Amino acid sequence: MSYAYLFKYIIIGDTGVGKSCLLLQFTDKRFQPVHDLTIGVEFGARMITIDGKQVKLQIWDTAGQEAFRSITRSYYRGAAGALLVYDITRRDTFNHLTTWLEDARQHSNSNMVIMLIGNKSDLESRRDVKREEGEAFAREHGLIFMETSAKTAANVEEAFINTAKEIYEKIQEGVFDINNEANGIKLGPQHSPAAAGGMAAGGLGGSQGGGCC
Amino acid sequence: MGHVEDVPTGVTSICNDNYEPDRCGAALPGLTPTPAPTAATAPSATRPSKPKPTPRRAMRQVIKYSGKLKETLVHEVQGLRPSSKHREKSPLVARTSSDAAATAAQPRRSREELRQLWKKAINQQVLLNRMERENERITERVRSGERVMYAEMPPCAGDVKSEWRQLLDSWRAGRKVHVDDLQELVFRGVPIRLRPEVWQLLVFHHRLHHPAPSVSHVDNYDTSYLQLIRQLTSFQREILTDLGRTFPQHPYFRSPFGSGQLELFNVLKAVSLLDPELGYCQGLGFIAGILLLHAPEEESYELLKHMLFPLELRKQFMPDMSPLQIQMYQFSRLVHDHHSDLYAHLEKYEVSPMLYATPWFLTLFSSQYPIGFSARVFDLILLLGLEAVFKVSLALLDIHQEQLKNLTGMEDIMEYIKTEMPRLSQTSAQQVFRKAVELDISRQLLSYEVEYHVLQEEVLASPSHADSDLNKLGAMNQNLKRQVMELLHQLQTSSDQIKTLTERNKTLESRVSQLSSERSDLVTFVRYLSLHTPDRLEVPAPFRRFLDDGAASEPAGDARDPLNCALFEAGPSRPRRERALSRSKTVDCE
Repeated sequence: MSYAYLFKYIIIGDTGVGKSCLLLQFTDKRFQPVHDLTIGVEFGARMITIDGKQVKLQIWDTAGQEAFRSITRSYYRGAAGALLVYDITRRDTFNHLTTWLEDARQHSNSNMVIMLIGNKSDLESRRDVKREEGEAFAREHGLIFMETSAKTAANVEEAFINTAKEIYEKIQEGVFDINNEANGIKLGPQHSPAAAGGMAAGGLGGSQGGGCC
Repeated sequence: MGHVEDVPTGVTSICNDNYEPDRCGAALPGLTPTPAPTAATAPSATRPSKPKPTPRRAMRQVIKYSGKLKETLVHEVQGLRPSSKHREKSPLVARTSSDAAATAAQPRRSREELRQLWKKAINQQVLLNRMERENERITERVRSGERVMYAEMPPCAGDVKSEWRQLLDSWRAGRKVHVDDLQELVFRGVPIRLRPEVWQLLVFHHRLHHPAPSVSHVDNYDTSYLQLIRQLTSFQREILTDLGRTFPQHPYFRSPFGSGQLELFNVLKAVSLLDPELGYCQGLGFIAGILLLHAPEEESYELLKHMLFPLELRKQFMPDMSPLQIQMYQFSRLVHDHHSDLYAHLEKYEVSPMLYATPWFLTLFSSQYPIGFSARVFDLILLLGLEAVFKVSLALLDIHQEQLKNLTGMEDIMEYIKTEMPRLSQTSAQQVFRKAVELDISRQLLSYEVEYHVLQEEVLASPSHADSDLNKLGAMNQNLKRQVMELLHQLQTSSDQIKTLTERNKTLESRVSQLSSERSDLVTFVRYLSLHTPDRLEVPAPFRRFLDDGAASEPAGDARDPLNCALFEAGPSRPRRERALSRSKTVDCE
C-alpha cells in the first residue's frame, strides 16, 4: 500500500510490561494474553492518516530482559519514535525508566520522539505507580505521557498516533530532515524520485525546511 | 528382549520393549536383588493400583505407588543388613528378622515349606514385575500422549531404527561405539522413540572424547539436582513470568502451573542456582522445554547442563551477550562466503542476522520451527556442538534464497523468514539437513571469530584515538575560552580606567584654564602695581619672575599696557607650565 511517510518506532521497557501486547492491540486490534516470548525483535506495521496523509508505522518490538540490552541498542538506529513502556502494577519497571531513557538518548538520534507509557491501566486495584508520578517523570525528561491498557485497548491508538503526530509536526517545523534516513523517516514511493532506491533522496515539495546536506 | 537394568541412568523409563510375563520368573534373580521373603511386601503395595487407570492422576498414583514399592524394597534390602535402622520401622522387616531368628532357633524347614516359600516369592516377583510393566506403559503413555507428540522432521528411514537399536544395545553391553557409526546414524536421523536414549549416548560419547570443561568458577557444578531445587533462586519472578510464554500452544506446557510448567520451572531454577552468573536468560526456557518433552526433569537438567558447559552454549546467554554478537558476525560472514548474492540482497534491505537469527541461536530453532525440526537440530548439536546451528541456519537460507531474493523490502523479508520459512515441507527439511551436514565451516568459524576480535580492537582503538584527540581539543578549547574571558575582563577594566581618566582629564583641563585666567589676572595686577605705585613698590621675590617673564617676552612698544597683558600668556612657556601644573595636580589627586 502506498504511503506518504514511513516512521520507524521502537518499543522498549522491562520484560513483561506488555510491549508485545501493545503492539498486537495496535496492529491487530486484539489482546492475546498468551503469546510467545519475544526473543530479539519482532515487527509490526500499520497505516494511519495524519493531516490527510497516509503514514506507515513500522514498529520494532524488542526483548526487554537486561541481557538483551546490548542487542536492543543496535535497533535504536534510525528510529523516529520510541514508546518507553512500564507497568503501573510493578514499581521496579518504573524505577528502571532512567536507564532505559539513557540508553535511548545515547543510541538514537536526538530528535527521536519518546512517548512514556504506563501500561496495564485496567489493573487499577493493583496499581503501584501513581499516574502523577508518570506525569512528573515525563515532564522532567521532556516526554509525552499516557497511561494505556493493551487489554481494554484504552489509549493504545492514541499512544501510537500522538507520537506520530509529534513526529509529523517536527517534520513540518523542519526539525527532522526527512532526506536523512537515520532520522527514522522515509518518504513513500510516490513521493520519491523515480530513481531506483530513491527513498534516500528527494524531497516532499518543499513542505519542510530541513535542508539536505 | 533384555530389559532395562543395564542401561545407563535415566533411560530406563523410555525403553518400552515388551517382554513375556512367563520369562519374568526366569529373569527374577537377576532383575532385583530382593531376597524372596521381602517380596512379600509387593502385594500389599500393588493392591491400591488399578490395572487400567485412565485419568492422569490415577496414572501418576500408580507411578507413585510403584516408586514407593521400589523404595520399600530398597529399604528392606538394607533392612537385612545388621545395622539398618529401618528394621524397627518396618513391621515387615521386623518379621523377617524374627523369622531369621526363628530359623536359627528352630529346626530346618522342610523341603515342602521351602518350596512353598519360593513359590510365593516367585509369584510376588511376577506381580511386582507386572506392576513395573504397568508403570512403564503408563509412563510411555504419558510421554507419547503429552510429551513426545510431534512429527519427525524429516522422517527417519525405516532401517535406521534397527541400526540404532543395534548400536544402543552394543553400547549398553559396554562395547565401544565408533564415532563414524554414531555420526553416520545421527546424520541419517534419530527415531523419536529412541531419541532420549540416543541423546544419552551422545552425551556419554562427548564426555569420553573431550576433556571436562573448566568449571572452577561455577561453585555449584557438582551440586546435585535435588539439592539445587530445594533452594530459592533470585530469578524466581523472571522465570515465573516466562513460563506462560514458553510453548504457550503446546499441550504439555500450556496449562498454568501444570506439570509441564512446573518441570520447566524446576529445571530453569536449578540452572540459575547452578550458575548464578548466568542466572536466567530468555531463550533457555525453550531449550529446557524441548528436553523435557523427551526426558524426565533431572535428566533434562543434566542434558541442559551438558549443552551449557561442555558444549559451550552458556556463553551466548551471558548477561552482555557479546558472544552472541560474535556469532552473528560469523554467521554474516558465512552468508557472504556461501551465498554472496543473497548476502548483498539482505544487506540492501538492512536485514542483518541480528534481526532474524537471534532466536535461531538462542532457542535452537524451537521457538519458531516445528518441534521435530528443532529436535533434529538438538541431535546435531549434541554431536557437533554449536557449529550445528550455523550449518542449519546456512542451509535454511540456502534452500530459500530464491524466494528471499524476490522480496523487496525489509518487512516482507522479515515476515518471510519468520513465518514462511518455518513452514517446511518434509522434502525441504530433508534438504536442509542434507545440506547442513555436508558443510565444513569449522575453519571459517575460527578465523571469523579472530577477525571479529581484530576488528573490534580497531574499532575500539580508533574511537579512543578520536576521543583522546577530542579531549585534547576540548581541553585546549577550554583553555582558550578561559584566556578570552580573562582578556575580556582586562579589556573591560582598561576601558573603565580610560573612561575615568578621560573625565578626570576634562576636569583638570577646565581647572587649568581657570587657574591660567586667574594667573594672568594676577600678572596683570602685579605689573599694574609695579608700574603705578608712586614709590616703585618692592615686588616680592616670588612675583618678580612675572615681571622678568613679562620683560623677556614683552614685545617692543606698548608692552606695558595692562590691556595687552594677556599677550604675556600667549608665549610658548604657557603649555609647559600647564603641563607642570597638571602633573602636580595629578599627583595631588592620587
